Amino acid sequence: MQYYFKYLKKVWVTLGLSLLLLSSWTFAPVIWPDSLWKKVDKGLEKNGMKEAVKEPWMPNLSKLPEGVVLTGNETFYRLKKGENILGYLAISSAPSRHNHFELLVRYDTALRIKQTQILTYREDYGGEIMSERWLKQFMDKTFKDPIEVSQDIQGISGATISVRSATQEIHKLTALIQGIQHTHPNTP
Amino acid sequence: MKASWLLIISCCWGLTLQAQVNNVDTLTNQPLNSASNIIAGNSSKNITLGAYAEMDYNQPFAKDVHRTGNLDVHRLVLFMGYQFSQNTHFVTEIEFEHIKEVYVEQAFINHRINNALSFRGGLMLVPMGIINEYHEPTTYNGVERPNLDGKIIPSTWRELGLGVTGTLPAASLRYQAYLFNGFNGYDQGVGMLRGNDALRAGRQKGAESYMSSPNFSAKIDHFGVLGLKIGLAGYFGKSQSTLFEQLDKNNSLLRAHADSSVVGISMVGLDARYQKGGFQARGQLVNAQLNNTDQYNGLTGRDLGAQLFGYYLEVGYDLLRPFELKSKQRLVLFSRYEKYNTHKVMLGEGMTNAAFDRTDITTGFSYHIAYGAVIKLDYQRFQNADQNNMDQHQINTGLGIWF
Repeated sequence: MQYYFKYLKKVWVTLGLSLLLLSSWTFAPVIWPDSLWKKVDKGLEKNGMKEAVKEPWMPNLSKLPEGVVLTGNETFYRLKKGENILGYLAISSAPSRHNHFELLVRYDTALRIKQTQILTYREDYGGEIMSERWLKQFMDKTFKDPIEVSQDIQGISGATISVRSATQEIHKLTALIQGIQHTHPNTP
Repeated sequence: MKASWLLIISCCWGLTLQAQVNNVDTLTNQPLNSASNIIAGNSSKNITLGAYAEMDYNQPFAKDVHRTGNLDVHRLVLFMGYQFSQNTHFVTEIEFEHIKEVYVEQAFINHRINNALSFRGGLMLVPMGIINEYHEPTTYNGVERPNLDGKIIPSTWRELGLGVTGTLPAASLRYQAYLFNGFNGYDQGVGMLRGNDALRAGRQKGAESYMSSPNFSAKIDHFGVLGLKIGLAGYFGKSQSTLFEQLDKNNSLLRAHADSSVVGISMVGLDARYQKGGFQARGQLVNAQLNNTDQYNGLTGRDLGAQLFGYYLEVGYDLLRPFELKSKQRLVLFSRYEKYNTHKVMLGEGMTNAAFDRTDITTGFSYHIAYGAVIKLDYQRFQNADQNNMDQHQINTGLGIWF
């Protein structure tokens, strides 16, 4: 028991010291900072897209799909290797309970979802949406497929808000990227 | 221990200082107070507001006697969050229980380093079982919370403390580990812990609480299987006693006296939630070993059990599921079987009380009229192992909201 308390004391001191150091730490928010791009690159590399060049891209937003509301955080990129188009990439931000998170959706040239990834998540509750197993549910879906929580996408107990938020965001991005085909008929 | 407290205080001061830096008018460089901050519109964009509430009607009934119903605004909880920076936020919940009892249910600062690590300090929920952390009325079935999460896990169980938490997505794990202030076990000559609901009356809830030794609490949740979430929680430590205040360190007799006013607590809880399509199930298993209860009962005249054990299993199905309604309304038919015993084992001369070996069955409907609003109706039967005890029956109906 004595040993147990000695150990506890160590934990208290370590925690205290760490908190003291961190209290002076500040964070400057920038839209898509380098740290986020690092995660994007890492995610692409993991999915065999290491050589893809990201080219900023804009879907046709004059014809917004029904029910879609823009937040201004939606960004789109075309993935190229030389002259070959490998697919498309969408990066956006969505709300969690009392913060927001960033996510990535990658599409193939037929605009099917090929990769979904939560890039940053800032809260403790709801972090379960980072689970690869959960994100895999979006695989191969297109705008035509219904993407609804509990109907098509399984929820996660205790992460209801983030599950709904991520699902809605992915659904929206998939709807928006559909516009690419309208603006650029030359794309496959 | 003194040194560590100094450190904690100084880092809390550091956090406050950082918060204050933000509250300076950028043009005049004058510090702002709360009112001027609201007027300037600086704070609103970082504030999150929310609430949950449950209004209940319980109607017990018996064969031979009349019973009166009970109508109650059981809980109304106002939630507020404030985001100081990308990674630092404050969360608080202010609860009105039965209209007139006011509690602060949570009040903590969370500072995130990365997904795998956040530091957290303040008044926090002890992670044990499902309900203690997730108790918004739209997230569980039944008008009343499961009784296991009251008699054994003393929900809503919150204390002051500090610790770490994080999510490891690759391993599909979330962890939490805290040091908390413990239960008030012995206060000015009165033993607070007892047979019926074990630790419940000892919760200090962050209200002028005192500490004679810190307690350790941790939980790991696994969410790697689609639709399934499994949690394993532990709580280890000792109840607190005011007899340690001004205790002469060299007086072994007084020391022994003080020691007998304290019980050791080791609680382990396993929980699981599963959902697939319209089907849902959840279950929980809790075991708590309490030591020194013979001495504690001898000193206080209480009947605290040495082992608390209980479990429940609940299954439900959304009857509207096959219709695939556009409105997303859900009508969940559910049934829950609970068994919990706060006198599983008694130490010393105490006899186990069979009335504390209880079995509850709850069955009914949760009608989710919209996301965040639910109407509940259920029937409950309460039984216990005491031969002379009659079963209790009750019908409940209630409204629940969460946003």
